Amino acid sequence: MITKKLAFVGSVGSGKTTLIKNLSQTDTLDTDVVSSVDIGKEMTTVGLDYGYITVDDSLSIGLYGVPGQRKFSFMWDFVKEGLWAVVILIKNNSTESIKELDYLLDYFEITQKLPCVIGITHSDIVRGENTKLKIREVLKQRSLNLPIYSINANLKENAELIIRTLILLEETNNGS
Amino acid sequence: MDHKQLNLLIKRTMNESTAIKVISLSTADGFNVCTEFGDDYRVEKEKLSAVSSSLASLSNAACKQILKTRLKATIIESIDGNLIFIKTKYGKSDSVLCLIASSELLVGKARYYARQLALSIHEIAVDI
Repeated sequence: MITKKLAFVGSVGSGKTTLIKNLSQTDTLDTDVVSSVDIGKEMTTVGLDYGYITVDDSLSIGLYGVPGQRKFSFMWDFVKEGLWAVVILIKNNSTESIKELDYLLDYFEITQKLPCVIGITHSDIVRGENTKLKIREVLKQRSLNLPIYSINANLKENAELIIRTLILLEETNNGS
Repeated sequence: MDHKQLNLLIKRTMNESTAIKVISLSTADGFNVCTEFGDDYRVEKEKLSAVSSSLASLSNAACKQILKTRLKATIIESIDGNLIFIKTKYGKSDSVLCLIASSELLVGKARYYARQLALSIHEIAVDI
């Protein structure tokens, strides 16, 4: 069986931990701690989220969620090695989260050849339709054409859609 | 915020051995609270706090999931010295104490100093 490595990246509170918990078929490794500053939620990831899914007899995927704060970027380096695919989560209508996209695309060296999906989260909580357009602008400047979904990280079917898309992207890249 | 008592305790432990290079207290989510350096050693405080927080949380998760128990300390041995990380509380706040010492100080001794300091920090009555 081949095990592939999938990273979930994105700014603080974008839903990485929730998405991994929803996807994983095993108990996830949880390194959340109580935040000492106001970040809009009580807990924050400071280590690594880890989960695991078996797709079929030949493929399993390790799910790695990294802390959103840049000061933890040394944890990003652990995950960056040997990546199969990347999911970038962007908070809807968050200027900070969209700005972070540019940085993450550089840091994780996203190219059209690497399966990558962008998920817009919190669309059910925060109104605003411009996020997708702004993301498209960022991608256009880099000649990238990546799938962008509005997702609810709490919904398992949304999480599974991302995985299916990544597998399809890989098959397309491989010409199969 | 004034961390007078905390500073005092950290300085007292620093004075136990010249092999102790750094003692740092960080919040569990990686913000620096207080750091003291030995004479000839400097490291970026913010980076040390982030590393302390990540390593403590990963060690804690490993203890919980693999050993089904609670974390006491994380020890990293390098060629030139050792890093000890201990979870503690400072006031109401979950915190991580980091002690870095050169290899002249035995790892057991370094761990003892860190443990004693962590216990003392836990006893400080501070409103945070």
